[in-house]
Amino acid sequence: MAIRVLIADDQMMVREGFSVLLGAQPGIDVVGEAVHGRDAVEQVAALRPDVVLMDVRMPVLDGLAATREITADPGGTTRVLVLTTFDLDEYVYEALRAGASGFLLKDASALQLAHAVRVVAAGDALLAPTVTRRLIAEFARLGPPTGGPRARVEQLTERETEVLSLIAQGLSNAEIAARLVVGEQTVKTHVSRLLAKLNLRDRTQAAVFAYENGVVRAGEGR
Amino acid sequence: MGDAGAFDVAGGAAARAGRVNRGLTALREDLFDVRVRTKRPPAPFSSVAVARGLLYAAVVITVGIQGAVLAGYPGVSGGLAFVLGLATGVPILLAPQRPLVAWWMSLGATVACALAGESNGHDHIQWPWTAVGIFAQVVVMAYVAFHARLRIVVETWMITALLGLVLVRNAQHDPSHWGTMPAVAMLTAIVMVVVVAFRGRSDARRQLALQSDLTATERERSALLEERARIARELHDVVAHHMSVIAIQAEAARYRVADPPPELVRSFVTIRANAVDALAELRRVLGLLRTEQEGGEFDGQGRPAPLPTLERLPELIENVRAAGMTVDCVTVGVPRPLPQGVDLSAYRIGQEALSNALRHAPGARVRVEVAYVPTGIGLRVYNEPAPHPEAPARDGSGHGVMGMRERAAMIGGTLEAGHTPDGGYHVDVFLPTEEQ
Repeated sequence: MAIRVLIADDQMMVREGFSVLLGAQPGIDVVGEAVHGRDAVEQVAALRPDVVLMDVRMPVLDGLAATREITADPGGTTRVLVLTTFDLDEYVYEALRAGASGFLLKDASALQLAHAVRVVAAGDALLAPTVTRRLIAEFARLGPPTGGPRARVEQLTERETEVLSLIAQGLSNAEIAARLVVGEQTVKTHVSRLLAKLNLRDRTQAAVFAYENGVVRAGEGR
Repeated sequence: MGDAGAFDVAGGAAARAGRVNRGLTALREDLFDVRVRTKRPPAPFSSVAVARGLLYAAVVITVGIQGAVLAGYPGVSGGLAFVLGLATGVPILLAPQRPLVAWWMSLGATVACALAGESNGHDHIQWPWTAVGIFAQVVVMAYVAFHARLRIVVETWMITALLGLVLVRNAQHDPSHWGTMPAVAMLTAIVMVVVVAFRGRSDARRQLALQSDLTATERERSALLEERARIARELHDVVAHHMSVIAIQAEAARYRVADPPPELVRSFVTIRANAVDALAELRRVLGLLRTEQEGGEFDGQGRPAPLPTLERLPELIENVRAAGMTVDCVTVGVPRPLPQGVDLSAYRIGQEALSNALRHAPGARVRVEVAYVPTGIGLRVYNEPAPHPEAPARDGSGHGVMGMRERAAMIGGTLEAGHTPDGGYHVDVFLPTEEQ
């Protein structure tokens, strides 16, 4: 089944360009375009796309606020891929906290874009090493978490907690399997179980959760 | 040996003579310097006008009384008495501008008056200075003390006292009598000391004022640089958006048709590569221009927002209305899409002008005119005088106008701002949309 994508950007030429780019990729369908954040939230509710390409700077409702609303819907499965004109730095932390699953610069190539959409749609999370590094830097700046809701972490088994901390360090399933000396399939099972227990959408959000709840601390394991 | 001794004596005398000579030369240079004059012209304050009035009154009274007193002396004609009165009074008039010249004149007047009064052997109380003469002398020397160097102050005092001494010692009627000379010496000494002390304080204050002026200039400059960085950032931002559209569209081009010719694909790849490179450079520049606190562009609520355009002018006006201002808005000509840089600058200038009106004339009526003409766009923001003039007219207006001017200039526009004859304020800007 094709991945259904919604494009949200206030510039018509950008929407149109992405629409052409992604429409040409096998297995990806552009099902709609939104001109601002509010429009995006409404279209997600109506169209239930798998992935939203979300611009940050938009009128009426900005991309971050729209991402927050979309990912707050407990029944929704739509994942958000945030696009910025300038730098990943600019909004990376805020967007992750808002619930975004990945980032991309607007001038990404068609292949990069298609790859990002597939990865995010699969829940396999776009955690490029650079993004992870920035995430760690940001948490290091904020200091250690203050207690916080550890209750949900308690539900995890020791192994799942271990997997969670490795996800937060940006490791792929294969790398985690090698590290723990288990099969990749076993890791996949752990990942999907811990995502379900913590009610998280994907690996990116799992990493954010891990940092925010002190499962890993900035500077650990690197 | 004897020769040597004689030589020594002669040498000593020569050295002494040299010293005396040098002293006299210094004295001459100090006291005959007619260029010594008030450094600061009086500021146009009413207190200065009052002081000037008092000075004139003092001159008139001095001339009158001195003339009347001297006319009473035997052997002094009315005409001579009047001339001597003038000689006593005029130095007071001259003292504020040319204190040293005035001082020399007052010495001359003193000698003349003393000689004229010599014949009056009975009135020792008013000799060598008359009562009014003492007043004139003190006033003139107070001015000397205020404007001249300390050495000159001491020199003038010593010479004045010396002149008094010479006059008293050579008096025909009673050389043992000191007359008014000690009183003059004491009074002038006290007044000069007081004036010199006061001057020290006012010098320190002036220094302080000068320094705070410098700080203000420094602040102004850094505000200007900050504003320029902000403007440059926004304009670069506009360019970056255009660039990313180019990059996206160049990438999309080859997917628009099935089997595009390879030459075309190559061409688009080149376009895209250049756009991506330009974006990378722009990001670097923007990183430099961006200050610590600021991330991307945010709207009033601290949310990320696209760069504003004139389309959002009504929103802005609504905000100003909500703050209690009456705003009329008129659009002349047919609105059309403007180049993004012009659109952004027009919005920002309007924003600044409205916020200035709000700050300086709260509650006033404001008129906003937008004129679309073929060669560009005109924007005029005019506010009537504030209904409550006592409302705090905070400073910092210069900064706002400066920023608007910078914005206009950066895209080749012109801006005029200032008070209108009715006490209101206007900002008029024209931004061209086409070259030439």
